[in-house]
Amino acid sequence: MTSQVPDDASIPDSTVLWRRINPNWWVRDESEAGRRLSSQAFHNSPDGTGTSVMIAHETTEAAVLRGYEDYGLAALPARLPRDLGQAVVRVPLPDMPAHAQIEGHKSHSVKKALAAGCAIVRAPAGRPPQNPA
Amino acid sequence: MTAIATTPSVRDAPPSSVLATRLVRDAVDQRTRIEVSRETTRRFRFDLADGAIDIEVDGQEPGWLYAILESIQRLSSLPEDWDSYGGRPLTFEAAFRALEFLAGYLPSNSVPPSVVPGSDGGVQMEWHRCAGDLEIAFDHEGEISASFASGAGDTEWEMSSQAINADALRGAIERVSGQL
Repeated sequence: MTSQVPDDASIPDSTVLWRRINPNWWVRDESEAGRRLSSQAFHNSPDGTGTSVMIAHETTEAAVLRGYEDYGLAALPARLPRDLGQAVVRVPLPDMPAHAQIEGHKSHSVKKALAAGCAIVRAPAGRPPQNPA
Repeated sequence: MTAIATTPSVRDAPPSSVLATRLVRDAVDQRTRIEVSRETTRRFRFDLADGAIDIEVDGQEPGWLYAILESIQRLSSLPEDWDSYGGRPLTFEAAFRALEFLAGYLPSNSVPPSVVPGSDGGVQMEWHRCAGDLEIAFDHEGEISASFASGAGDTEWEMSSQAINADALRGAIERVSGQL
């Protein structure tokens, strides 16, 4: 299903998007390196907007994780959600100008594909890294 | 007989929040049924943030029971904005439907799933094993959806609450939940 929100073409497909990873989304996986990112990490926001991400080259890892030291960080190219019918749009916030959102309905398969397509920049604290950077 | 019954007991909730009242799963085989049928039924109250579930275990307790209860209780205590994205705490409806589902579908000696909170107040149970990847989600209203991809690559499906195929769901659970 294609997003009803227009995509922001000023964000190139190669742009890396970062998503903070709550430790609850880092789950057991028998077939990989012990842990993987749950598809629940890509739920839309409860307020009805899309999935929050940061444009990586416009911020820093430290800034994204400030105050969330036990969280992990996942990276995905903007192309990935677009290939799944999602839109990537800038939604700058006063304290986070690099903020963007992945807009569109997210079925199980979309959330799974987003999670599977991520590179783990940093695993949540206390958990073994799935894919060390 | 091995069985679990779950009965919701919602505090300060509208009548529509009182969901299915009873669910019982029969034993796997007659031998087990005979051996444990003399055991007394155990009942206990499972308290969550916004209600309680009366749990009744008749016969041997499933190996996964306490791990799941501990996970759900932990998730029910998550605060508002628990995920830094405005995430809502686990709802009673989601917790109850998840427990009711497991009581009906998950064999006693199964490997328990990972229990993962959803930002909407729902909960997802997931197995990622060589036999396949199975995710069963209950949204904040307790509506079920699920997806499965077998490790062998011969089966893949996704179900919404309007189109749940109980046989396919049970088959997927048997493939991924293995035996302890």
